[in-house]
Amino acid sequence: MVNHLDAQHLHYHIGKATLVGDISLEVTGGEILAIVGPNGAGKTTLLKLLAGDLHPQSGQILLNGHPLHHHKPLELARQRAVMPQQASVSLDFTAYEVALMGRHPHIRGSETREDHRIVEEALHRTEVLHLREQLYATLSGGEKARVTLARVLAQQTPILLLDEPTSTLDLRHQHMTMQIMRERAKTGVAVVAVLHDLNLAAMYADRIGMIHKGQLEFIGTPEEVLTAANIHAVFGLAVEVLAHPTHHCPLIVPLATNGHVSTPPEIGASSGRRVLADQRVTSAPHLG
Amino acid sequence: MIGKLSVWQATTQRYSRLLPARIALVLVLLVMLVFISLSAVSTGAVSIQRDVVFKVSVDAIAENLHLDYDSGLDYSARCLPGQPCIQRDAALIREIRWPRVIMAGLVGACLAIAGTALQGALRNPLADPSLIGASSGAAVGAVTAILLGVNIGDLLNSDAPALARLTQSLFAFGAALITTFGVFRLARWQGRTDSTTLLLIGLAINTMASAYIGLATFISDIREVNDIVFWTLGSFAEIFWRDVYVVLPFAVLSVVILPFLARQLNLMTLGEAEAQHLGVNAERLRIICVGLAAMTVGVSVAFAGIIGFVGLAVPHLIRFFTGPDHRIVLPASVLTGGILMIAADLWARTVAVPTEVPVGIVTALFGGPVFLVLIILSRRGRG
Amino acid sequence: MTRRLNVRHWLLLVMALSLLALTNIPHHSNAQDGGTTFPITITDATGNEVTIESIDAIASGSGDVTEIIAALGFEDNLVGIDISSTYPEDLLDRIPEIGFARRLSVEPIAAVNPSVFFCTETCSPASVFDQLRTLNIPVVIIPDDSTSGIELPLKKIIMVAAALGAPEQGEALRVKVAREIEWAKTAVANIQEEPTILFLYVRGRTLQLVSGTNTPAYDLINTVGGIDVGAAAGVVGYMALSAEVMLNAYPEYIVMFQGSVDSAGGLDKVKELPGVGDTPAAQNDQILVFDDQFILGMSTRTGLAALALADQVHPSMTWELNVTYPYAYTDATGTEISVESPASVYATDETLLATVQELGFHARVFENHAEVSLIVATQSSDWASLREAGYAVVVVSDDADITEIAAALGVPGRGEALIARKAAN
Repeated sequence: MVNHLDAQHLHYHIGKATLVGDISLEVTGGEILAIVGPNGAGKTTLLKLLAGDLHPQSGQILLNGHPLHHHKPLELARQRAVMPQQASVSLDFTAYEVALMGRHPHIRGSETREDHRIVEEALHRTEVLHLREQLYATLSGGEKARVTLARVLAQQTPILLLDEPTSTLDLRHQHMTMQIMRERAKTGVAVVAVLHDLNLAAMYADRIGMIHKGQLEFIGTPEEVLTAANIHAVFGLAVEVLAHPTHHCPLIVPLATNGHVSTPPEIGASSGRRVLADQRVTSAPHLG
Repeated sequence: MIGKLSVWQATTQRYSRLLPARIALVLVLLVMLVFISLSAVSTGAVSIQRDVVFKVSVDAIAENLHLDYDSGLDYSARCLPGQPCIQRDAALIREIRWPRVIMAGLVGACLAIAGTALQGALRNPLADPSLIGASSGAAVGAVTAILLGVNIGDLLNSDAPALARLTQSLFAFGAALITTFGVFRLARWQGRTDSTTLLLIGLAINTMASAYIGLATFISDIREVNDIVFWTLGSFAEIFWRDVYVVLPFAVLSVVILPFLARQLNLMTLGEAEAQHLGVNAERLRIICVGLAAMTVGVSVAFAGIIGFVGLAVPHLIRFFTGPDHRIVLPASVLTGGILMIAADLWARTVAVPTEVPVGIVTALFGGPVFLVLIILSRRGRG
Repeated sequence: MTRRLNVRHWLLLVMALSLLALTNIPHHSNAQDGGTTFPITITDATGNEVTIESIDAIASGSGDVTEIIAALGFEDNLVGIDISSTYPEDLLDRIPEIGFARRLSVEPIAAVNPSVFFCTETCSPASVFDQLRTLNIPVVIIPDDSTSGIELPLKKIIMVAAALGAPEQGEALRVKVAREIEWAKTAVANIQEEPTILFLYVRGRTLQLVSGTNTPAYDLINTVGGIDVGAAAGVVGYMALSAEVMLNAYPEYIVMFQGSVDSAGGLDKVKELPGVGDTPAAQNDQILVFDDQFILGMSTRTGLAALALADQVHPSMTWELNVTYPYAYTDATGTEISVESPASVYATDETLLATVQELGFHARVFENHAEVSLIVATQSSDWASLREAGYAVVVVSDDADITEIAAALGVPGRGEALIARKAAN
């Protein structure tokens, strides 16, 4: 199974606003590529281009060597699964039914016992099996995200595209999600995940692409990309990069002086970070 | 009471997710459909013995299927004024009541399945055949035909009233398709169709259409006003077999095709992009659903006028009991739409003998409160 | 309840029949009067050939047709009538309702099991006719076009009579109604003023229409020498009422149906309609309210309706709507007589008769009739023996002019009008 997604010179703009300008990157089975960058950098647009939701005005995306748009929707759905930022369901389906929808590309006629087994397993893995009979619409944000993750996993695709999969999750489930991704990568799945939390990216990603104003500024291993200089240049925030005490990866700690973040906040970090910085907490920022 | 109901609802929902339960539900609805049809055919201003109704119906079926069966009714008996008369009753049952009941069933089914398909494909529980402009477009077409006084009978040198009505129906059907296509076209932007925009445009088109109909009512004379009232409030009073033959293929087309799309419609509830990620060609699905809905609604309105609320409320009613899975909601909507419309028409034609209440008034009269109760109950059911 | 009544009817019928058989009195059924044998086939207003097997059970879907059927003497054959059949007045109390002319449906009609169904071209929906035909109920459509003008009732009468196999009765009724229409024309012949009149149709709060050309109201207003200001304002058919239309029309008289006024909630509410209150008609209390079927039914009473309207809109009208009885008159023989009763009038010869008829009397030539109210006789006739026989006789000179005859009949005003009419012709 050659799982290979190759984006070449992608360019996407709406009117005069360039959302993605000449980005090239590729991801291969077995690795996790994290996409990081400040708000409005074009991360989600890039993911939508990779998913085939949007068509680049120039450049092309090759899935296993063939242009993405040559694949039929159903064929594509067996190749890649996409986890959206937030997923709503317009009718009252139960959590189980929503997860079962992930099996659609594989179902001929009606779902089999095997399909049900896969769905239950996915729900179990994302720790929402006990919510299976609940209406999806009545779940909390984090629970919804985990059911959606189960749906994406149930799709059993060699490529996973995740748009901020951890943003509504608590700390434990953030790591659970990333651990699942690691497991999948180990089985040969290619994972592209848009992440906000640099430390989460540092811990789990094989490579990190840092995007700023529609451009891929840096790409490489966490150690290469997550340097204090890079982060300051892209996020406009002064940080100190330490070594993780137990894990072989960088640990990013924001710095602040006189109760203010070092640069204007409009391109800076989220308010959550600022509060933490004000309190001079030096541990990793907590999101979600 | 409400607590009990929502418990029951939860229970029925759970069971209805099982295949045998779904088959049972469809069977129950089928039995109800047959029952209400027979009741409707047996009831009317002319009172006919039930066994006569039954025998005449069986004889008619036997005749059409060339079966060797004879109920023994004497159809040749001469009709005397003021006396019960088999000959006339048989004609009434065969030529007036059955086509009317079947048409009511077909139109109810068409509107309900169109509503279900639209609500699914457009991801909007408010979607309704009238909201995408199909109903109002059809009415505009019919009203235009009335105002212009066009009649294909003039071309054929015939002034049979049926031809005038047929002309109106053709105008209605054409206008329904054109309007829906126009709404859809306007809502399409950069190769995508946004549901909210679609509904908003439909709303705008509806406003224009009702203004046009209002204007038409304003400038037309009393006789034309009567015709216009028919188109805007709906009626099955003027249905012949030939009308049934026109509507039937469209209804069958929808009823056959849409269930195949049931799972894709389920996926659409996740969102258009998400459905796409799961292998649904969302745009194509939407075109098929809207196209089928426009056709079935167009042809329904063309022969029965605008009948509101069925397309909107029946899918909600079904989902309240069965949950949202289109694999059960679609067939159940077809049957329930038929059952409710036949019942509404039965009421409309018998409540105020010797006149009839427009059936659109009946559906709104009963549908409105039921819909309200449904909304309140399902809100409580969610806690 | 009804079943018991039916039994009683049957009993009465059987008794009556046996009585007839015993006394050998000729069966007095109207259907057989003309000697017509059924089935008969006629071509109706829509050009359809209709074969009528029997008229024993007639259903009428329109009030004007019901009126004609009754006037032709077939009232007892009616088994179902629509709710606009308000004349003769008690009909709706006795005969089952089958709907309303403009909103017919097939089953209530089929329920009375008629042997023939009558309606007009304006009955709707027209597909009900098709449905009735599939039930083998013959459907006769009576003309109701907007181009026949005030002659429309005559066309209706001829068609109904033909379908009922009673052309003689039809002709007699046609002559009577035609004569009454002529009276209305005569009544306004010597009037110079042309009052402005508007017909206003109201159905509750939702429908308010004014009429213009191509409507019965237009024909009626023209017949009585008024100006239809709806038509003058450019209205064709009917148009929704607005203050603009109303003030543009500015009528001196507004004609309305009693049903319209009732549905609006009374005359006061009518005056609150847009623009209505500002018209001279409303301000001078000249909103004229008539029974719906009487004034615009375009049926057997159209001539009388025109006369009634003329009387209302022409204050200077000399034509006496009703003769004042008793009146005293000194006739050509110098006899002063007092004429008591208006019941029936006779003339002694055809020439005299013609003028008497033109003066607003359904008179006949006298031939030893039993019940006579008044005989108008010429001097050369045998008036003396008539008077001796006890009849009330008014004698006019052999070369009596209109003025003299009119005076003899107590209607000098009608005389003036008739002279003006003749002069105009």
